[in-house]
Amino acid sequence: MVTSLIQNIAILISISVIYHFISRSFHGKPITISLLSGALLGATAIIAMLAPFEFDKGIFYDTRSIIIGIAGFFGGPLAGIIAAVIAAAFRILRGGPGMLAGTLSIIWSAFISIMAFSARKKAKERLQRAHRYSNVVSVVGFLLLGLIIHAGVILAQLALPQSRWQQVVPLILPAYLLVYPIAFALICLLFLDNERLIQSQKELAESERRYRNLFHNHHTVMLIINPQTGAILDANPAAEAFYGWNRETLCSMHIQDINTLSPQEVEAEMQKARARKKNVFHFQHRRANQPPCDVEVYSGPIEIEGKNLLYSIIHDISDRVRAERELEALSRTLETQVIERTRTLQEKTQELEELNREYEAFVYSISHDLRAPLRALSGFSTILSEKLASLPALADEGPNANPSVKNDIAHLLDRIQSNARRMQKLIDDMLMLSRIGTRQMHRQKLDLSEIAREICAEMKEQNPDRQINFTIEPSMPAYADPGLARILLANLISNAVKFSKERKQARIEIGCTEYRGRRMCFVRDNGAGFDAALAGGRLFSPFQRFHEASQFEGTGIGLSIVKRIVVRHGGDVYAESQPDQGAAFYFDFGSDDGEEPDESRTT
Amino acid sequence: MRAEPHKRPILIVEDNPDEAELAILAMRENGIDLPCHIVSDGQAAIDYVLSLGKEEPSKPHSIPFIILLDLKLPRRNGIDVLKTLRSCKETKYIPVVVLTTSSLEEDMKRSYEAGANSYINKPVDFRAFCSQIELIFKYWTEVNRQPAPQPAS
Repeated sequence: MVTSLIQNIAILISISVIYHFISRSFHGKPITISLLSGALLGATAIIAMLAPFEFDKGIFYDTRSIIIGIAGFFGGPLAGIIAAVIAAAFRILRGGPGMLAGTLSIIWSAFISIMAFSARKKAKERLQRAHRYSNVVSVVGFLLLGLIIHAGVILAQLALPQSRWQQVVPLILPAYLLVYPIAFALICLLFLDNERLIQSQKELAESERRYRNLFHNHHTVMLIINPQTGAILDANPAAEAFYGWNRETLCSMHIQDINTLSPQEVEAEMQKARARKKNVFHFQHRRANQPPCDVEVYSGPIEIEGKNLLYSIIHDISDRVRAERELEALSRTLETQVIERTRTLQEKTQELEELNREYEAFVYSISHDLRAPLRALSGFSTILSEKLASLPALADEGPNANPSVKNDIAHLLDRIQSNARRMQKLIDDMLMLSRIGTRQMHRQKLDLSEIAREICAEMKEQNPDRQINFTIEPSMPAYADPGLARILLANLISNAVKFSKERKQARIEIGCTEYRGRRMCFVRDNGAGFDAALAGGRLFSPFQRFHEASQFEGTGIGLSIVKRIVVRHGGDVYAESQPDQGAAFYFDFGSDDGEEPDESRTT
Repeated sequence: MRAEPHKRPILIVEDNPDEAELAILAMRENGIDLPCHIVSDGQAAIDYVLSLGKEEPSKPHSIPFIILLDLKLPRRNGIDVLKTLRSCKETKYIPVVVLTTSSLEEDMKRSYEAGANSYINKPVDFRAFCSQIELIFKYWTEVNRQPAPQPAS
């Protein structure tokens, strides 16, 4: 019995080799594999049954249960059923009293092993879903499976006539419960090992296939390079299209033939990529029928078939580089334009300075030339009126003495002199107005109250016969040119004094208040006032007068001077007035940051 | 020596005859009765001054006692005249009073740099002008001392 068992096992081992040959040869065709391996194992079972341990005629024992168990557990339901059907058919053909027990043993073996196969398959799938991989089997499991199969085979012996099974069971029991399960487990291990080998080959083939797919079907240009020599080992279709050389040509080339850098430089860059010191490079690559192209290369080490190689992914960045160059050119052009404009501006500034000088010369000319005839007019009329004054004593004595004629002459000479004075004031004010526009401005912190007090004191001195009540806020800090601030205040205060001359008690107030959302200074009087709405924008224009010259003398330039001073400081001036209700002028010197305002704002 | 200056003339450099006349009138008003020599342009003033050295030694009194100088003049301006006066040995010490209608800071500076002794801004009012003239002459005749003229030897 043992001899036949060993013979059977030897057969099984040789069969396992054939089985695995089938599995490998028909990889990817599971049904063919099942059919073939089922048939093969069925045939093996027949061979086993041809060399059995024969208990009696028609009653024999062999390793068919092991073979069918293997077929079911490793081959799956189809292979198991085919093997079982073949074996059972043969057993039935052999006939004898053990026919039923023998057939039942076959069916049982097939059934249990197929059940075990399904249980293992389900367990595998469950583990796969949890992303764990295992063969879900162990030696203990195999032993247990062997024990269950052969316990069933022993039970099947009950189908023999009672006298027979009572003899047979004690005889086969030790072998079936001890030797057969161990043998089964050993063969299982052999098959498992083969299964693992096939599995790993399958995985390898899969990863190879994936890599091939990635490399060959990707639209990105890719090369595999030998980092020692720079030889191109592989190139994908995208690379063929990009470089214009086919794969064979590319694989006969070196990367040094493609890169426009010197071979030494290429070597150095490759070593950087290999050592992972750098993985993005910018090169120029040669192409078959086109000029060299700017490329960005991602490169790094890769292990293929145990060799350390270099992969390179190449992007055409010529568009980007071109855009960058265009941008650079554009910025250069812009720079040139800026220089050009600056030059033009400088020329204009020079022209403007030239004009300014001419203007100043003109002003000088006015100051000199207009004053001379005025002086003559004034001087000679003064002498004349003095001479006239020394006449009366003599003239009255004459026969034609006429005192009224003399008085008329004196009056007319007076008119000439007062007009000369007015013209002088006009010239002085015009000079002042023009000089305010051109003179240098030096802002500093100052107290307007102090300046106002000085001006008011002067006003009182100049108008000793008037009752003027000045109210000045104790402190009014400002950031302005002191000379211009004084001129501004002097103009506003003298206006206030002038237009309040018909008041018995003139009240003039100088202070600070919130006006139009800003902190502004003001000069307010209780004088004649004017219709501010009617005056509108003309109020601050030169030579605008809102009273008759005979009533209030003046040149009409004072408020233009005020306006020009605040505008130069970046500030504003506003007037509030009603006829006979007095007037108030609000002004400020702009922001306190000390910056010169835009001169173009000058009105 | 005290009375000496009064015999020497006054030189008026003025292109406007009205202005010149007003100046003389203002002097007469103040009882200043010195001979006045009037030149009406800068070149004439320079020519006159340079010719002084060539005058006969018997006429040292022709060297002006004081010069009233306008700035804006035809041909050569007042500043040029001043510079020439100051560079010439005979006229180096003659007091020069710039008498002008210009109140420009720039003119004032240039005048003093060229060697002016005084700078007077002529007022429009004739009475004010008269009192200025009075003050000037009082100062240069009664208060100030100056070296005797140096005629060419």
